[in-house]
Amino acid sequence: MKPRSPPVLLLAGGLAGVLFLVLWPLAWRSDFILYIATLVLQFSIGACSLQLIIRTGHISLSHAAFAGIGGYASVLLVKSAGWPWHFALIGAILAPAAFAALIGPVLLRLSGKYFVLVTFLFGELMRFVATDWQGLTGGSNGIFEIPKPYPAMRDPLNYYWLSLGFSVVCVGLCVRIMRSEIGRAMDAMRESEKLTECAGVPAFRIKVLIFVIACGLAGVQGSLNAHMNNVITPGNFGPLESLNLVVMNVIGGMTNMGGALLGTVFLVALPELLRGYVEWQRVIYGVILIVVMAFLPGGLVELWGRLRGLVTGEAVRGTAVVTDET
Amino acid sequence: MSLLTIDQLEVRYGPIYGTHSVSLTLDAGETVALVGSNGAGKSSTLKAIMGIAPVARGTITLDGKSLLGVRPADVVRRGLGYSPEGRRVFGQLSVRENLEVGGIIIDKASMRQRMEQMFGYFPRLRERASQRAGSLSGGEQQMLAIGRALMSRPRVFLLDEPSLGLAPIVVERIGEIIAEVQKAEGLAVILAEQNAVWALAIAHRAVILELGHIAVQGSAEAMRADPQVQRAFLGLE
Repeated sequence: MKPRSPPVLLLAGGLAGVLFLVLWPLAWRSDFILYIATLVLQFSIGACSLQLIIRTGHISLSHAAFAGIGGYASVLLVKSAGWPWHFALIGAILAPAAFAALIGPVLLRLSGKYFVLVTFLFGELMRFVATDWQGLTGGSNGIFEIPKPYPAMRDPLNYYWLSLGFSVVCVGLCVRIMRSEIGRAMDAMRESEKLTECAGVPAFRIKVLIFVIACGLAGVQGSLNAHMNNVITPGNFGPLESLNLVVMNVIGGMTNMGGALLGTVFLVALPELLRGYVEWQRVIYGVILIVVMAFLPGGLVELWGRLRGLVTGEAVRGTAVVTDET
Repeated sequence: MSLLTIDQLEVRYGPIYGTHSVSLTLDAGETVALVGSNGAGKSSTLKAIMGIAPVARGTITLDGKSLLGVRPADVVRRGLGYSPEGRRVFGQLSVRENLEVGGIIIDKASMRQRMEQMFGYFPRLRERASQRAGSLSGGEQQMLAIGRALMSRPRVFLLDEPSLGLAPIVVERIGEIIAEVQKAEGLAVILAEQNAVWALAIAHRAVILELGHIAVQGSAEAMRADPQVQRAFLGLE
């Protein structure tokens, strides 16, 4: 396991980073870049919260579906129930969290590939429901004319700052969890759940709790995204989108929040910047993925470690990929 | 009343028996050796106590309360520590993190103090505190597995096959440490062990298992002197 950087350093680095993210648009404003940055911030919530689940040893292919549940909850509460957005946001967190609490205790008993398969099916199921329940969700056309959270948010810069604020809080929460005793227990669980239980850690309870928290956080992404786009459709929340969130983590090395952020920048910004080459996008993705998995099993973060190793002469180990033996 | 009581324990994995009928009692401050060859039911007995082996029949009680059906994490909360066979450590975590996982049920302040105690028992672990546990030698991993189990301040310590594959001098050292901890903390120990000579040397009492049944039991001293035991288990003529 990589040495944990001291909290003071991490905090200082984080603060400097946030300060930069707050201030750069004031120095140089480009609405296109601002839009991409806002998307990255929103997806960082999904990617980092998914990493919480991954680090308990489960790869979920339904995380985007939970973001979708949050998105629809938020939109419906604002449009149909007339709630102000900040209350609707609470609904956007609670709805997917409640769903997760309902199915988590069953799903999380499945190990490895079975969990992946069932979450894939759950993601598809949610997409079908969103498509077929036309009275509620508007079917495959989705729901249009979603108002911005507040009138001031029509300015993309304000929306960027709003997303930044929520991203900092949510990602910060994920980092905090991973640096706590529970985070340590999660890293242990991934090696052997049974052994962790025998060390006194209520592994299953922790897994369910983390699953619920992570899915609740995904709802924040769903809400922020839907209100920015003015439209929400089932297509945004299918297994392919969930897979994207997984890939963000794979690129980042699976066990590092910084890596997940890097993966998010990569996967969200790249397609936007490659818009002129739509037909090549997937090919470029595929090649990058294969290269990363073949040569950098620890993700892009490992590349950094190796470069640093070259300089300091220290050998660097690859980070373990998720294993499950029970 | 004994601290831990096992009565006619039958462990069964589907059609395969782990143990047929094992009964034993354990008091505070004593070491009971469970001796026997592979498949005699030593590990199954310990796993049944921890709640990770299926119990078909019999009872296991701690302080007079049944442990059957209790989740492993809660068994630890009730005062048991378990160091499984094969010196299992969390290889990707550092030595310190391994100990922290073991101490999850005690509060933060006493965790630090307890870890210092562990480093006192096992000075080698202090030297290697921030190393990955997977990079330790076999003996060091065994010490870490023991240290991790002791972090939660158990009253009963289940130690499965600690001598396996270790150099005699390391095995001897482990025996000394167990005695030291026991003296300091009044710990009760069940030691499951193939190395009968060593186990009988450090235990107060011993139970010899054969194919899931109890073959012989009694004080370790008497057993060391028993000609039948000497012939069958100690390799003496």
